[in-house]
Amino acid sequence: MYVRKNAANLTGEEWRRLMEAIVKLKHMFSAGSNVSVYDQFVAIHPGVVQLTGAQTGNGAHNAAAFLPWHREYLRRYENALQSVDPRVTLPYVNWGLGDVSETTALFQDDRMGPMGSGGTGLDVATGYLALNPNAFNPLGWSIRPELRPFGQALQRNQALNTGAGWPTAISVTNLLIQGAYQLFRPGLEQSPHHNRIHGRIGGDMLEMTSPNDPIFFLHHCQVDRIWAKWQVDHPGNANYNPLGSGGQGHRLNDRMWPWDGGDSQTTAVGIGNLLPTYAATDIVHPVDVLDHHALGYCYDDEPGCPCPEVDQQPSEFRGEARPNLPIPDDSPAGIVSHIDIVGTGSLTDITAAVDITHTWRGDLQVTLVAPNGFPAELHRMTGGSAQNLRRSFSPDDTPDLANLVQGGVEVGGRWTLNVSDNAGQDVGRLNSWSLDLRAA
Amino acid sequence: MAKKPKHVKKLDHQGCKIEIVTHDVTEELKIDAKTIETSRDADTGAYVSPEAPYQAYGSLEELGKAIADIRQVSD
Repeated sequence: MYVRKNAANLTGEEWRRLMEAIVKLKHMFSAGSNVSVYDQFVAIHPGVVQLTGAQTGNGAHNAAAFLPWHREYLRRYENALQSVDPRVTLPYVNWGLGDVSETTALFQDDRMGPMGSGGTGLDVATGYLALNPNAFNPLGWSIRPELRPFGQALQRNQALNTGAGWPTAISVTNLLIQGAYQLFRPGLEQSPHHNRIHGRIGGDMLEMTSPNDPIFFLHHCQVDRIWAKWQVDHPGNANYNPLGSGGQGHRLNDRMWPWDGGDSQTTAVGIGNLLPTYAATDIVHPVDVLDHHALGYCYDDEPGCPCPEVDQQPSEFRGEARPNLPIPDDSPAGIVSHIDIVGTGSLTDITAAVDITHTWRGDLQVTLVAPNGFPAELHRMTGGSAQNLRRSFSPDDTPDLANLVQGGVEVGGRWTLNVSDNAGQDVGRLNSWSLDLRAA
Repeated sequence: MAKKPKHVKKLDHQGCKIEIVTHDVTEELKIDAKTIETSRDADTGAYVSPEAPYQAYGSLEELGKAIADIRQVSD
């Protein structure tokens, strides 16, 4: 469980982690793709607007699935950010308080960057999201031509128009007392709420490629939060789309593109080649996402939030395994042994100790794999003819362990040790190994 | 049997020629003689179009004018 916080309450360190994770996604590529992970997320959004196949038309707007589709979309984006930095959670922009300072505070160089000013007059010219490389983002932030055909710089209005028509506490309260989903959903989607914010930020936020602006996700986090609040008073499946409006893709048990097993395809021009590939078994229906707690997150102001703020005090965890397994001779696959750590927190220190009996240490390769799949090489065929490998490894002497700590890997879950013998004749066995972890 | 004549409302806005064509059971929005992709919100019936994202209008005429406004700004 993790907590989504009000963006106005993020610390400077939390902003830095968030923005650096976003920038990393922009320059990170899945195997075999020349489209960055971030841009793949962008492409999904215009893609869902024009569908053919089992679904037709718009699979995520102007009908019931607006809220569940975007909940799943945000969850996957947040998971991608967490694959880069496990401490990052998606913050929300608390528009609707009647206090626009909470919103305007976002538009600083070390946060989401300013409103438009440079170049065309609309370009975001400084900060992490500026086109030109700068101290915040040495790689710069550019938009692919397929995802917006004019210019590469992110664009926003020259000023944030917070005047008449801005969502207010009263308008949000009036939404929350709507008794029926088919009244609540369009009230939240259309002005003065979701739609209005897209318009007031302007620039790229006006287009269906609006996720080009990372503020999209903070805006939709607030949309999701308001839905979550409404759900408290209107719990259960019966309060989702009771009239079945919106057709295929919008009903409780329909598959939602692109997590639909290939039932539908996008016809949006130029988008198909930019999309990520999903397994045929990766299927999501609205009913799967109605309970946001079951998806693993809550909002920081929820009464009775089941996931209170993460304890910042360091915690220590220890695990030990005594597999006493023979290591197959000259077999790169080797053997594996597991230690399951129960707990939560980001790794701040680690000591891994191994006890391996072997007649030729130089045959051995030993790798530790963290619960998130990140590998850390502990020993790689060094030591020549010396016998046995009985020692501990720490971030001070093992660079890969230092990387795990630097990445703030989540400590809870299955840690795996892989031991292999990579030459013939000499043999040995893995007697035992242990992990001592510290987390915050 | 002669086909039932369509009703066409024409107006000029921002230099665009907007037509609202009423067929037997459907309506069509044309701007400068080209059909605009439109749909209606499933619950409210508001008119929407990919050409005017994040906006919804009470009538095709309002939607057509908004699209013409957007085109005017884009030009």
